[in-house]
Amino acid sequence: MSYIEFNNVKKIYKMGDVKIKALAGANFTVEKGEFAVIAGPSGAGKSTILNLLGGMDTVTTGEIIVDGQHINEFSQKQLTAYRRYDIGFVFQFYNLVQNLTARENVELAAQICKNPLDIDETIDAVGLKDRKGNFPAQLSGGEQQRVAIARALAKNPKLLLCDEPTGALDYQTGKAVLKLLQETCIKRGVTVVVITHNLALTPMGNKVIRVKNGMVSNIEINDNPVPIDEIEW
Amino acid sequence: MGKMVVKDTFREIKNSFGRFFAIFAIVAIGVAFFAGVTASSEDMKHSSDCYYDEYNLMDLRILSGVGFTDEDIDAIRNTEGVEGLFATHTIDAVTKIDGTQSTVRVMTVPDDNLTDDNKDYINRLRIKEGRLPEKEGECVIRYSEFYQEKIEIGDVITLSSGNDSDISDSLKTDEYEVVGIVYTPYYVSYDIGQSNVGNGSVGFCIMVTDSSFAQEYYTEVFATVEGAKELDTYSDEYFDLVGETKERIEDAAEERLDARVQSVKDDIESERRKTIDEIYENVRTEVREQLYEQYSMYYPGIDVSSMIEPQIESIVQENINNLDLTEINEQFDRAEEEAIENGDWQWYVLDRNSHYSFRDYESSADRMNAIAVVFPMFFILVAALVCLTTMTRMVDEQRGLIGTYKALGYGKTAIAMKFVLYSFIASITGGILGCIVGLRLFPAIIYDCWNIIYYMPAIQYADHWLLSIIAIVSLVLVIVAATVAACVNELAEVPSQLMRPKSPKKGKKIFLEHIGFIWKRLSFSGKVTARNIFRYKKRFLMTVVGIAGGCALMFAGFGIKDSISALIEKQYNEIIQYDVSIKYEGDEIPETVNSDSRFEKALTICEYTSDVGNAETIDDADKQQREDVSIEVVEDAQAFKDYVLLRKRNTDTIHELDDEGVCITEQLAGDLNVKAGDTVYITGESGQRKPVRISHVVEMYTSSNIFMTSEYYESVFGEDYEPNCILGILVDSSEASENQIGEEYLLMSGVRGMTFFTANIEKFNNMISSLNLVTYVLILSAAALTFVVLYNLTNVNVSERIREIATIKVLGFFDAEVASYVYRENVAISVIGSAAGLVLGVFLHRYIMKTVEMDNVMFGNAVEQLSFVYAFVLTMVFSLIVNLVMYRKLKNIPMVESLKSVE
Repeated sequence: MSYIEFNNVKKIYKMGDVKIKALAGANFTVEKGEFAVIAGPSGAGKSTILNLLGGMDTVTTGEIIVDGQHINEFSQKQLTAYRRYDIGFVFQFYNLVQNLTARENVELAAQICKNPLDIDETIDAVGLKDRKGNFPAQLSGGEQQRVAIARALAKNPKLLLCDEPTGALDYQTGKAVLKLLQETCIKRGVTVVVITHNLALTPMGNKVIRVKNGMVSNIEINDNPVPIDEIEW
Repeated sequence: MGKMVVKDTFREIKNSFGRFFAIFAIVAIGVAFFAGVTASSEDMKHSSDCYYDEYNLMDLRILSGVGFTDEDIDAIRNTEGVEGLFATHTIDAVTKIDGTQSTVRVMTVPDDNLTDDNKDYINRLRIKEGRLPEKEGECVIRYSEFYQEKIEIGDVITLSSGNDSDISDSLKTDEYEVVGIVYTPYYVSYDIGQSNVGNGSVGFCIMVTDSSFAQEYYTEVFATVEGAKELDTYSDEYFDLVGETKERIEDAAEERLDARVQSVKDDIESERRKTIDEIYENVRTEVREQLYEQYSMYYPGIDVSSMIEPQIESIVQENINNLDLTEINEQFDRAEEEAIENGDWQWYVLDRNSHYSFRDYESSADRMNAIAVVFPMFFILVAALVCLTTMTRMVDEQRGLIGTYKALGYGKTAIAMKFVLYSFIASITGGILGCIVGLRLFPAIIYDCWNIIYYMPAIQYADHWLLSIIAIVSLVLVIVAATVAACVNELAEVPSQLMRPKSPKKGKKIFLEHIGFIWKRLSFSGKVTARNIFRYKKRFLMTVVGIAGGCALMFAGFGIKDSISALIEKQYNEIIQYDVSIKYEGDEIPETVNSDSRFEKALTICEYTSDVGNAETIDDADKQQREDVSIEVVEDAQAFKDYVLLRKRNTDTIHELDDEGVCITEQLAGDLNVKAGDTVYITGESGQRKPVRISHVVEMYTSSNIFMTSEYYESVFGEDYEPNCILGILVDSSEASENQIGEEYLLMSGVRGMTFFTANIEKFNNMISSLNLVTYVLILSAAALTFVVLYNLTNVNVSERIREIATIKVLGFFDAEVASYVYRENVAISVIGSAAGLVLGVFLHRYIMKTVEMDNVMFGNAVEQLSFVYAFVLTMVFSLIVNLVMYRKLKNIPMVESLKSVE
């Protein structure tokens, strides 16, 4: 059994009388320690996958298994606990609490976990040793995203979910952030799922899952992922 | 402005109905309260005016110690301006109800034509039950709560005079069957007044047919004035109009009184003539008999009548001239003198302003008005602040849209129009609804509350067009102005800037962080809370002001209640220690009292009324002047301490009367703007106006007094101190005991009047029970305001931070943790706001107490500690309720919000 399994997952949103099929039966797996890239155009269902995998939304039908647990059967409370202890989330727009310093943002996540990593070490690891006391507004976009990654990592999650982590960053900064994620995956053995519409990023993953019209159109295993430095887009 | 902008606005209202409703509600509450409470005073006056008009309350009341004859009545009736006239009788008598003696005021209704359109049926009775008296031996009783169980229709009331005269001198019969229960416009207040029979205060009032009276003269005349009904009875025009007629009656009085004096003189003169003529006749008879006898002896057997006849007259004349009529003449001269001197040869023409019931109700309405000025202003201020926050938030949220409109080429005005229109529609509909509801609801409640101590018919709403317009327009203007202010900043930016997200508000270190020893001790969440609170200073301030405002209003409401209750407690349990004061003359009464075992002790003092001013002459317009201040001159200052406690308010300092100056009561000192060490001018008993030095200002609530020692009085005025009043402390101050004592003493010839304080306490307690209800209305409204303010501000707070909240949800915060993340701030702000509100409330309360103060009543500003607790706890409870309501909203915030781009 794989670490993550999506078995015929359907998600239908009801807007009044209109039913919108966001996910029409997605099937894929991700192994532990893998760096998976979920790629596809806007509206293909990437975000829905992320929402379901991240425990932010519930399936209409189908089965999601993470580390042997059936997420689709979780109650709201169990989902919260799942997000709390198992998931690290990196947002496109960083979503840092503006009123907290870099360190405090990390602490905000770490304080609710069972086995958080050392906060300062985590921040040092993302290369922000000297910016701990700064507020988000005093940091660049790349730095903010590093804080967000540190925040996700400090929770010591089983799974790191990244939603367009470079979407709001310039090329160079984006690369640095991706590199950080790749290194995290390799060094710490954390399973990483990155969602992107940028197909150029696909070579960096162990596994590339392509989504189209609410279905997984193609799954590609990449035994030799390319280091991010070598990828150009 | 494009059609689409209007369309957009209406869609906006539909989509953000919560926000729209919040503004609508806050304006509605604000306007309802402002208009409603302000209108109450006017509605009270208008209702009473209608009542007075409908029930034909007298415009003028004419009294005379010598009574009125039918000619007098005709003269008044023929005076220009007099419309209706009712010549009547009034006496005070006593009766026993359930074994206790009560004083009854006996008034009359006309003997016939008791119809609504009879202009001469003045002070028409409003029948509650039964019917009006139709013949001798029937009466109706004026409704009063106290007696409603004790006297019912069918009961018979037996009257006695209450003094040594016989009731049958005044009334043809002393037994009256109650045939109805009525209200009278003549006495709308609970209190009827003082009397010189019975225990000194009138218990209730009955009306009998006028022909039940056996008196020769009418004792009282009621009159109405032509055209007076059309005027507002509280207006100057009304009093001007009535005043003209009043003067004409006073002119007529002179003529009539001259005629009356003349007729009294004539009566006595003709009596004198008659007596003297009788004497003359006796002399003549005597002379005739004597002569007859003498002549008969000379001429026996002959009829001498014709012989003596020519001689009689000269002898009679001689005898008459020798008669000494001085004694008789003196007797008549004295009688004449007495009749003229002792009679009070004057007509007192009194208008409604001299009528206690009328004045009392008016002053209650005015007091209501004073409250109405302060409270609603506060309401409007808070409402405006909250709307400003809400609209600022709305404009912020719609940055992108503003940018789009701008990019499309819409002008600033057109864009601003959307927001202005939005807030205008919300506030004007709220304002109109507020007016409709408020103008009915608040006056009705407040009117009913006052009706606990007044007997008024159902409320008559006055026209409040102007008030409505002022209330609505002022709030709408404030809110639209707030909206424009909120738009101006955003509109100044260029479209491209607007379409980019607003750079998030920078986090920064707060002041607290520099105080290491506190900051370090705060938990992580404590730090987060502290920083969040101070992040948006403007909003923080507004929330605090909003909560503080509501809390202050509630506190003031509780405080008003406390202060008034404290007044009774302090005045009658702490300051005034004596139970009764007896005005007397002569030397016997003090001895009687001293030997009366029912008196624990008693002290004689001199009490008289004087004007008091801080200028040497009375007519110095620049200076303050007060009339009818009671001066108490005390011989034994040591003993006086047991009767009246002279102390400085809020301290334990007890002052003692000394021979160097006077003690002046606090309210009086305030009115005259004087303090200890200053000089005021008072008039001595003999009329000299002299300066006196103020030694101390003392606490006193229900009267204005000046206290001084007899030694000081004598040294200032150079006249002897003469006691005229006894202060007594009773062994048993129960009502029964007081009635008993009152009954006995008022029969004594040296007693001029008595006042028992138990009656005063009851009167005040009554007034307070009604004020309590008014206070509850205020507290409830303040509570509603606090609630809406908190709801609105929390709502803004949450919607502003939706992204942050969604993020922490994604981070795995449980619902309760998310809630506490937000609520810790709310609670902290509520605590700060409530604390500030209590401080603000103390000042607001003081201001209100000062405003509603009436003549001779100082409310003070004592507040129970519990009221602080109540106001604080209630605010916190509202805060909690709002938080609970918000909990649902928090729970429903979709986590997907965290993924969206910054708006």
